[in-house]
Amino acid sequence: MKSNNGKILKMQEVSRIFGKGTAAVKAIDGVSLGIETGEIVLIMGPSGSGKTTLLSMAGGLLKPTSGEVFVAGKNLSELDARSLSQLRLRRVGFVFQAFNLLGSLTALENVVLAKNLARRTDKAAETDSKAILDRLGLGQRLAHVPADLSGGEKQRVAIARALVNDPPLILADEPTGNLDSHSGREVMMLLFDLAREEGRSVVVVSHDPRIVDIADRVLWLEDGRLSTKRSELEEKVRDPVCGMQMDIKDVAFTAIHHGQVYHFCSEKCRQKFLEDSGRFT
Amino acid sequence: MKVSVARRNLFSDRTRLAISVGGVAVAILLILILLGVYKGLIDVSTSYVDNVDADLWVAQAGSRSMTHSLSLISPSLEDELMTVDGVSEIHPLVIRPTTVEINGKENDLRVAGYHPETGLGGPWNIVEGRGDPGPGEIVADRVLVDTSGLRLGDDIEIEGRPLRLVGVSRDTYVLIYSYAFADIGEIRDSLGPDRVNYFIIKAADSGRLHQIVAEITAGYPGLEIFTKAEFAEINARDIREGFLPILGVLVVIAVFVGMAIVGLVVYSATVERTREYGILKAVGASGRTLYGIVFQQSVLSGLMGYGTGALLAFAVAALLETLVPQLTISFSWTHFAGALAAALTMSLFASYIPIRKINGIDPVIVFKS
Repeated sequence: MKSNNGKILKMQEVSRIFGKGTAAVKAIDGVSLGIETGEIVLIMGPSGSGKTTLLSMAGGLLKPTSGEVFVAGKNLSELDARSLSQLRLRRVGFVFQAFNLLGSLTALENVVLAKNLARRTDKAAETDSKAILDRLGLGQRLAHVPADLSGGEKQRVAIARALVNDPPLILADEPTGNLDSHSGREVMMLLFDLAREEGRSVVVVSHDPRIVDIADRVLWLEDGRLSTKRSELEEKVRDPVCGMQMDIKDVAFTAIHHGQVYHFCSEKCRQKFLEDSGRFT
Repeated sequence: MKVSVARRNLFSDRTRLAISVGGVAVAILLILILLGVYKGLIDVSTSYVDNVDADLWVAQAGSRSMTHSLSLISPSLEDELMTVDGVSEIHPLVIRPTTVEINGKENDLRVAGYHPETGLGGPWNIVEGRGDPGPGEIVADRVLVDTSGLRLGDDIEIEGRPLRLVGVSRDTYVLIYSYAFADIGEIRDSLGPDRVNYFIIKAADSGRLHQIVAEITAGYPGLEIFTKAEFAEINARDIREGFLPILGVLVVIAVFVGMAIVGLVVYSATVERTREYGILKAVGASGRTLYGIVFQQSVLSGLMGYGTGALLAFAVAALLETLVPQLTISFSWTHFAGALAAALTMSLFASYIPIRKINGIDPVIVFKS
């Protein structure tokens, strides 16, 4: 994996202006940002603050008016359309609020298609895709089209598609926005695992305050300018398995181990803890 | 495993697929039927010449096709021409245009007078009765027989002389008239004394045809001599020059209609899936890949339409020939190859505008809910 001073994503003094003359609007104003390998960064901000514009530029979908964007060491402004497509295919995985699956394809085909686009049409393309879907708990839903899947399942298929070409950078736009709380939590856990267990860098743009709990850094974007958001989360407890911070009143499960009380966000985390408590204490 | 987005898109909406395939099929059907009618006309216009087993045709100088100019030559030349070196057989033919009234209806006929004992110049494709009319007998085309309600044994009166129907032939109808066949002795008088229309010659050695032609041309300035192929071509030319431009215009219209239908269907399918193309762009599909998807959809529609249209053409041709006996529809493999080329052309041009549409899709669309 190539990097730019150890950073998988680096934005330098990036600005983006829409329109011209008196109608010009500065959506992003001189943003600099670096994302480390394995880091989860949450970008929050009010509607219209430029979050999506920033994510689009990070993924090479939109050119900045000024400044430079590096992904895996490549300066995006120096790449032609074909090279940009290749970079998005192999270095960046997108996860969208609206899932954005192809309606006429099954779950498996949606994932295999991403492999096909990377010129992999062999048996391994199918095997790899099945393996990822299986890992995300969709082994029994391979032949279902998106219309027959729940919101959480669709988002997991979308995550599988984002991962199938093994990109080091995941860009997620409101990944929990269209999900119920249970599915939203599952997706959060998935993103957390991608960073912690697989060393992928995850940039999430979201309004969902729950994601703060799994983020290494929370940034605030307002009027096109990025700033560090002060943590407002004090007096909290942390799930020892997933690391999620919770208000004590929101704790779902607890366990006592060697006389100490541990708090968990879900039964799944509690079970993991009980199976191998030494790993988490 | 290779996922074909084009195929899945195409088959996911059966109604749209049916419209698209149906549009191309109708255009292809129209093209094939028009070409089939055209070839049928050409075939029947030369059918008489094609079916006379002769090497050379001798006509009056200046007389060209059998349709447009009357050839009158003296029967006495028969013996002289027989002496030309290389001539093996020579026979006179009388082709008499006439109108006969049967059951109150007038019918245009070309009565071919020939020597039945030689068979040269007589009927082919006998579907009923026999094909060797004796004295006082006649063989007629099935269109005349069917449309006039004639039966074997009925009389057909040719210029005041009743001839008994003894056989029915098919593929002997040419656009506006039917062929009938009788002994030359029955109709020679109708041309006036000492007149026949053509001589047909069989050469002893087909390698010496040009010598025979040269000798007759030099020795008989009042005659014009053609090889069989030349005479067939002269007769086909009338049809070709008269009908080809009209049919050509209709074929071009059919191609444009097909192109418009496929284009509209593929365009609407592309517009409907604008977001999906944006998604593919966002996740890394190249422009070429996306164009490929649209083009494949268009070509698949075109090929399915072609297959359907080609099959329908056989059924429709059979039906038309039953309903309209005067019509002869004749297909050749070049028609199907041409129609395939037309279908692919329709597909190629039909995908142009949708591809331009895809070019303009902004992948940032994927972030909109």
